[in-house]
Amino acid sequence: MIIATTGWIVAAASMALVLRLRTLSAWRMELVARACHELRGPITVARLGLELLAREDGCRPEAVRAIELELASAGVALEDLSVAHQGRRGPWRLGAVDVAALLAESVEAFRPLALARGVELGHHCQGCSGVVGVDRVRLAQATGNLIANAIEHGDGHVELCGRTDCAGLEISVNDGGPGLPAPVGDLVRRARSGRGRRGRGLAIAADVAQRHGGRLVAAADDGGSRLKLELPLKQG
Amino acid sequence: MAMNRERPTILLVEDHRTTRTFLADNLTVDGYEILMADCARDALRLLATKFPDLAIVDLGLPDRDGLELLRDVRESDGAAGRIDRHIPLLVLTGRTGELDKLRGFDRGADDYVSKPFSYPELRARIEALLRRTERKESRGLLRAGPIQIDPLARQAWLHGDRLELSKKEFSLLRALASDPTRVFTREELLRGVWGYATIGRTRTLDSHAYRLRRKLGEGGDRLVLNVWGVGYRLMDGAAEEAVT
Repeated sequence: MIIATTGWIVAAASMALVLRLRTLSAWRMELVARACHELRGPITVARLGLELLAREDGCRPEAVRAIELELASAGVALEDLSVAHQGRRGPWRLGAVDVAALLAESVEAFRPLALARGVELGHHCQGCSGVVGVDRVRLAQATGNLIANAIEHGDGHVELCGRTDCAGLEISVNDGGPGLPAPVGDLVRRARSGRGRRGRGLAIAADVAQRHGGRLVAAADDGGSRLKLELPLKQG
Repeated sequence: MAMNRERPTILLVEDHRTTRTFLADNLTVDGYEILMADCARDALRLLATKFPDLAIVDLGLPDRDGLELLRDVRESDGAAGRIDRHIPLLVLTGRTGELDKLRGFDRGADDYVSKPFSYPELRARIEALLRRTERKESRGLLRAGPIQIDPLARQAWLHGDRLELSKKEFSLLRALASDPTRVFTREELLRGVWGYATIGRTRTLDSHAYRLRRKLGEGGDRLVLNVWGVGYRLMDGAAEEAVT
């Protein structure tokens, strides 16, 4: 009798716990959905406003393009966020990309941050042609994360280099800082498993590289760190 | 209603004021004529009175769901509301789920763009929709509410059903459908359709209009409208605009 009663109590408590967890989960999803809803409007307005600004005389087109790329990245992050509860990511839009233009826009977007941190930010391209089969905005996201990392942890000078050849596309970010605190693979793994606050940008860059059939690697350098996105893409 | 390809008119149905203003400003700079509505009621009024070439519709409207607006447009019989049920409809919304998109297309959307969007992409989609409409018009088809006319084949349809019209009835309908809400004077119609050089006292126009109205069936009394002392028009457009 006592065993049966205890069993019922345990079953009822388990059921209540399950119901509570479900309610909590639904509430979390609702909060995320609301946040997504509230973000869509401002990003839409900002992009439309920027489009209008770009038509005005005296507007620096390279700055406008850089901001537009950042807003597009925010839009992609929003798409990811809105389907995250399904364990999915937002859509990928593969197309042709002008690598030189993309790198220039990425550098332009981070120039104010670099200036504020007293970091000199440069870039150069070696035989950069167009590539195909790339999600432009997500590649910009990956590159931007590497640049932001280098500005934050590097020292003095950050250089972004792009190179295309028959093997594909290579984008590297060099900085004069103390170097990575751990192998890049470990940092990415830690971030992917949700451990620690560091390395999330690296994990995003690694995911973007992987999705394009490539990888994120740390290359040997005389000083500082040098992170490289290697993407086996076709030139277009 | 033939499209003004030089400056196509776009109806922008969006309740968020800044989005509406910025989008309208961009489209105006790009050479479009813009009509704006912030609710479904105003959108339907403008569709029925201004005959835009394309409508951009947000789904989250304050008075009704945008999907209902799409359904109303696609189910419009033209005679009562004078809305072109074939107008290209582009949905512009924050509802991004696959099911939302399927619902949108199911209710009659021709294209579906999720917010936040790239303006150049939106513009390219607008152009593509307008090009498709233009191709249809270049075949010479006239459309006015529920009536479709093929001048080359000298055939007319009401709600897709072919009308059996005499030569003069067809010509009269074609003349009126060329500008459905405009009042054509008796003189204009008698000269244009019958080729009369001088206009005496004749009942020819009235008797043809009467027969044409009968052939247009139950909704015929809301079509081929007699404007006493002046002439005829196909649909009552300006009057409604004035009272709403």
